[in-house]
Amino acid sequence: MSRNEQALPPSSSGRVLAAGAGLLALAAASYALSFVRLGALGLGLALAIAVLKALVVLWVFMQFGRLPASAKLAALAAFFMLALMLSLMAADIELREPAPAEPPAAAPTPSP
Amino acid sequence: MNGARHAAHFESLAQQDHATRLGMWVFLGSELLLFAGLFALYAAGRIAHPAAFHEGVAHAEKSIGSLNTAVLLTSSTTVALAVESLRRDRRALSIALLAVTIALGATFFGLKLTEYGAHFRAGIYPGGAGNFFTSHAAPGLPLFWTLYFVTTGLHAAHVCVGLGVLGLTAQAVARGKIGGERAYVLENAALYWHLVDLIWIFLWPLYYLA
Repeated sequence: MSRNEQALPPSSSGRVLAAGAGLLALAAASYALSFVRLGALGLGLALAIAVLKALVVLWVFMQFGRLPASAKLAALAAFFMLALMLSLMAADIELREPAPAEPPAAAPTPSP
Repeated sequence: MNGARHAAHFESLAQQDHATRLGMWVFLGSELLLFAGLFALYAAGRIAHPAAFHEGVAHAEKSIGSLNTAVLLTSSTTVALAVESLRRDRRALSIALLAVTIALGATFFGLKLTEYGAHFRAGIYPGGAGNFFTSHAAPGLPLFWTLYFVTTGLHAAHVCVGLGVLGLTAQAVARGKIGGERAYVLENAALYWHLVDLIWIFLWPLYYLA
């Protein structure tokens, strides 16, 4: 049996519980920060906490680090496609030329 | 090697385990790209109409959305514990944890319906329809609420599918069709539930918090 075909061994339930408690703590921090006036920084902080939570879910619950190489490659390919799509969209918004001004409405023709 | 049987086209149960896990991750990748389009639309809308999106977030049901976050994160923890229990062949505990996960998922869906009801009563409908938009005429606000209903609605549909998958898997565990040596079946169902959780982790700050 190759290494990639071996079933995942059980991990510690205590680790899973600790991850769950950490996720709830991060969510509470995000909720508390939403009441502080931080302007644009507020969204950045909320998304940074979301990325942290996503990494906990990926690493502890979904056991990404213990996956066979082929499954890791599939996940990374999806992530690469996502990054490519978002980068191209951002580039489009940043580099798009402003829409031409609307032509002035034609003056009404005087009635005879 | 063990008592469980594998499909005829696999050489061993371990090979079947590996193939199903790979297939599941490819599927999760396609699901991620489905939601990525909606996230990209949100980003473009927010860049074009920052004030309207901020106003939209201010009218969101923050308390219900936040409660739902706690519910979903807890359910992700319980389903991960259910997988660990089954890997140790503790089937009764695994079934109990799956029942808790399903109850939490149903709670999430119920709260989501309550939230939609509150928005409908306030005159907020997809497409900028409803009385709300006559008194709140900021350009970009209809786009925010349309994206809100489409994205959270698609996510809620995934919650329903996840509940069905977890229910069927729990039934198979209870009937003894899935035990410790075939824990990968439950593991794949749990992966789907974790993806639902991952999507919500990003929806919550974008539509409810900031």
